[in-house]
Formats: sequence, C-alpha cells, structure tokens
Amino acid sequence: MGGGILLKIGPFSVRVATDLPVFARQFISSYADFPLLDAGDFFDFDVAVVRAEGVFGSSRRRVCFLTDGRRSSSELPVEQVSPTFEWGLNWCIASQAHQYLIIHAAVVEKDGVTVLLPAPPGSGKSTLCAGLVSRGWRLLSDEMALYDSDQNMVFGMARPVSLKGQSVEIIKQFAPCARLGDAVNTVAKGRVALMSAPSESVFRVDEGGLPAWIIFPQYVPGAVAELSRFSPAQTLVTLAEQSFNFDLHGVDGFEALCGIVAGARCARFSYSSLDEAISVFDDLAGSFVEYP
Amino acid sequence: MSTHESILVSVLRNPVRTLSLRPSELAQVIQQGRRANLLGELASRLDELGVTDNLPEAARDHFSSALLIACRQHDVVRREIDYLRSALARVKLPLILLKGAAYVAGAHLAGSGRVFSDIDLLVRKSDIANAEAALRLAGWQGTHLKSYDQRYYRKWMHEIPPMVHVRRETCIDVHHAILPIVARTSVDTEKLFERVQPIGRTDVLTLDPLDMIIHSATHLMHEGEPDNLLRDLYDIHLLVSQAFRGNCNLWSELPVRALELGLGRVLFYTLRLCEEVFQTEISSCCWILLNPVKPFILPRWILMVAYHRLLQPYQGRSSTLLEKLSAHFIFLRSHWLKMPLPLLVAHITYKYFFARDKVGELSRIA
Repeated sequence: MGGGILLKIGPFSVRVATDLPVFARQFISSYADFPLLDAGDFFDFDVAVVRAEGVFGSSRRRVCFLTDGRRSSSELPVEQVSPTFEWGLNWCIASQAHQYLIIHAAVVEKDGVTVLLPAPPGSGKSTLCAGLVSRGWRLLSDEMALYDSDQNMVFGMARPVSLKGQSVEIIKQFAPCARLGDAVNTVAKGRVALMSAPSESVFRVDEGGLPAWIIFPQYVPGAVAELSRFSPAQTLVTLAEQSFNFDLHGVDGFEALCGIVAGARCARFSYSSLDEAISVFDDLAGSFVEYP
Repeated sequence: MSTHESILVSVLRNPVRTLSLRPSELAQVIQQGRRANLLGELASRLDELGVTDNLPEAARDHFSSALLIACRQHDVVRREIDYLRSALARVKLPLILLKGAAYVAGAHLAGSGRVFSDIDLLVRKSDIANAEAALRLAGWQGTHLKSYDQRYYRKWMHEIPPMVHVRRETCIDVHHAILPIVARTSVDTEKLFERVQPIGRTDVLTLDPLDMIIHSATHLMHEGEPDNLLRDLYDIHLLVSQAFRGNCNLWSELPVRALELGLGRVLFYTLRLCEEVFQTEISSCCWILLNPVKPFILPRWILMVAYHRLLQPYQGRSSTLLEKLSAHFIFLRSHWLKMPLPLLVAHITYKYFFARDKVGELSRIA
C-alpha cells in the first residue's frame, strides 16, 4: 500500500493511502488542485481506503475505511469508495478537530459576502450550493463549516460537493462543465455523485469569512425563489442542533453561536428553479438587499 | 527487554521532549496517543508543565481537542457520581468508586486528561440486590438480557451486567469483587472493604491507595484486550509515583499487602513492566519482599516478551507475527486465569457458534 500521499485539505494535512487503483484515479481527479506536502511534514489525519478482509485474503467487492491504522467496523461496496473516503474524513474531523466549532452546513462566498446554509438532508442544500459555485460563487464547504473563535471566522475545505438523488442530473444539465464524478448507488444516501470544487475555490481555501447571512434553503416544487424572515433565536437553536461538537464547547460554544447569529441576517429560502435561486443570491452579494 | 522504545512512551516519560520533535515525529506521537487512548493524558502533562504554547499550532490543536473531550467527560462523570451517591444513599449504601472515576473524583494525576467509557463501582455481594434495585429506581437499566449473558455475569463474573441510564446513557459497572467468582485466584473482597476511605472531604469512598494500585495491577494482568494496556500501565506508573513521593515506608507495605491479598505475582509483573517501560522508580526492598512469588525464568521471560510486544503503540504498519502471537497468547491467558478450563471451553463454544451475530470475531469474546 505504501505510505500514501500527504495533502493539504483546507486547514488540515491529511495522509491518504489506498490499495485500490480505482480510488486513486477518482481521488486524483477530484482533489487535483489541492497542494501536496512533503512526506516529512506534520499530518493531522492518517486515513486509507482499502479492500476489506475477506475469508480468502482481501475482498474484491468491499472496501473499508482506516484511520490511524484502525479499520472502521462498516464495509461498503467498492463502487462507493469515494463516498466512503468523504464520510470517513468527515468522521475524523467531527470527532477530533475540536479547535473548531463544527456546524453541518454549506458555506459559499461572493464579493466578500459569506452565506451559511445549514439544512437537514433532503432540503436541497447541496444542489443549491453546487448551482451557486458553478455560477461564480466561491465554495468554502458543502458539509462542514469550521468556526474558529480566535479569528472569529468560518473556514471550509473546498472538498467535493456531494450531490444526491435527482440533483446529479439537475446539476449535469445546469452546469455541463462541472467536474462530476460517476454517480453510485449507496445504501445510506441513495444515488451519490461528487462534484469537484472549482479550482479558484481550492486556491483560496485559506480565506475564511464571517457569515453575513444564515439561510435555511428548502426545495419546494413549483415555488418562487423567495427569502422570508426567520427568527434569530430559532436559527441559534437549529445551528446548535446541526453542530457536531456544540455540547463539547459548553458555554464557549453557546457564546460563539450567539456571536455568529447576532452578526448575520437570518432567513428561510424556498426555491424550485436554480436560475431564480441564484439571481436572488447574486442580489445578496451585489447590493443592499432589503431584509425580508 | 524492549528492543526499541516507542516515541509515545519516550514523551510520556519526559513530556518536554515533545518540544524538540520534528513535525512528522510530532504527528506520530499524536497518532500513537490517539490509538492508545493516551492523548488527553499527554496533553494534560504538557499543560501542567506550561509548555503547550511552545508547540506548533497544528499539534497544539490536537492536544487541546483531546483535553476538551476529557474535561467535558469529567464534568459528566462528576455529575453522575453525585446521582449515584444519592441513589445508593436511599438504600443506605455508600458509593465506592474504582479506577477511572476514582482517579477523577480524587483528583489523582492518573485522572487528569484520562478518558473512559464507564464508571466502576464496588458493592458488597450481599448488597448487590439492594444496590441494583436502587440504581434501577434512579434510571439505570440492566443490559445483556439474554439468559446466557445473565448467567455468565451473575454466576461467574465479578460484576453484574453493565447498567445504562435510560436518558443520559451513562454506563456503570457494578462490581462485588475485583476478579471473577470462577477465577483461578480468589481475593477476599472483605479485606478491601476494611480499608476503603473517603475521597477528599466527600462521603464518596474509594480503595486504600495501596489497594488501588493492586487493583489496577490485577486488572492489567487479567486483561485480554491489548487496546488499553499501555494506558492502564501508565495509570499504575502515575499512581505509584504519586503514592510513594516522600513516603518510602509504603514500599514495604505494598508488597506485603499484595501478598496478603494473594496478588503478589500480579504486582511483581506489573511493577516489572512499569520499571521497564516507564522507568518507574521502584525500591529494592519491594523486590526483596516479592522474591518468594518471583516466577520462574522461562514463564517470566515469555510473558514479558508478549507484554512488551502488546505495549507497543501503533507503528504505522500492520501487526507482525510476533505481535499477533502475543495478542493471542495474552487473550488466551487472560481467559485461562479468569475461568476454569471446562467453563472456558463451553463459554467460547457458545460465543463462537451461537452468539456470532454480535461478536463475529474470536477476539471480541467476553
């Protein structure tokens, strides 16, 4: 398997190894723009995706995720090797990187206006996020917003956007130039395809942002793209629920969230057409938008 | 005896060394610490020395993360201790804490930065029914409800099936002895009760400091899983170093007490390992007193080789043949010590063939 490669993914140095050529290919294409580090550098996470152990040597069909040399208990079909890596790395970050308050949310930015998009699965958050970044918005994150309380900034990792279900086809039509990996069927989340972040987002990944807007998107068939007022208190509660390590940070975590919410305008956003949605977002970035 | 010392052990012995490590070595220390469940304790040592700020930021983040996890867990443990104390008080039983929870409650060095998965407590066997009823009333529910598991715990083990709180999901292990009922060595638990003492000024109790060391040693030498061996040995290194600081008389009392409890050999091996791995200072009078139970050279050598293999933290590679053999040897030995052979065969057969849904692999049995 060898020592793998050491890659800078956002604020983290990640050592990635594999014994699967298919994963190596997919990984190289979706992480092509990420900087390589020297083998002697510090690493935060040591991960690998390898063939699972079968009865007669290694399995051809199933893969598992390793962190610090320890195998995950779950094994997945080899077709899902890239999502396995993404989920595994998410787990490493969510369970170990407590220097950040970690919120399950997408983060995008344009012209200095940062927007935080927390939303439960199925709300159309990733679709909207993929649409925005194919139309000039910078991707900070699709899954995890990393809030650094010392710098009072939210950072992302510009990792691939994970598109689920119908949104794979929607994005293919909406942005034919998007770098999309093969769609695979997964048990946990249905059909999944990974869309690489635009190169510029990767190059500027160290630039954090403080959310000017916290927007809860919701895909509603036939709806007109529209922002509506959402209570800051409710936003705070939802962010706490969507945080991976809010409880660990105790009072500091609560105060951090209060700060984020107090500095942003909170809204709900329903949409059905990506074009319309993006024009509403472009208005947020472009000029003063009257708060709904 | 150890061929080459791991980088984690060398920084645990001398935490200041962390400051002079190369970036890749620092990453390795963090990785080994994480695998051995010792990262929080190392972070705590660095914090006590006030050198955390001199570390590179990336490394510092890992240490502060590990400390944060431990601190939050200790908050929970202290709150649970309070609940446990009042639950047992309703049936007029004292709360006697063992191991991790006792270290935390007693502000032992071995507690700071330590993470653990359950709270261990000790109750007289005759009080088990009362204690269990009181704990149930306070929201802790029994687990392992299958009749085989119930029999396994209640007839053979030194604890009742673990209890989990219905709302807070905290897990407690209620012990009535420090070794299984059917174990090869039998320890008179009453002798431990005779010397229990309060933790600080509270009405929560724990074992006498010497008994605490002996109990941890007993646990270490009967443990079949290698995952926390290094952590458990480090606990003992700290307990010993803390207990004997400025109190040399205890050096003769410790072996005498261990021999009285029938645990002399357990103490012998444990202190040997402490000395060889962490260079714990152990008085020569202790070795002289333990001489009568000193094992023969061959079994001693085999056991020490096996333990040294298993005490190696993760080296960034898969296990060697010697490591795999050592793991199997220690696993089988621990079961051999904990159960008579016919029972062991019956137990392994049952677990392997009839309860595979949960265990799957041999090393997860029991």
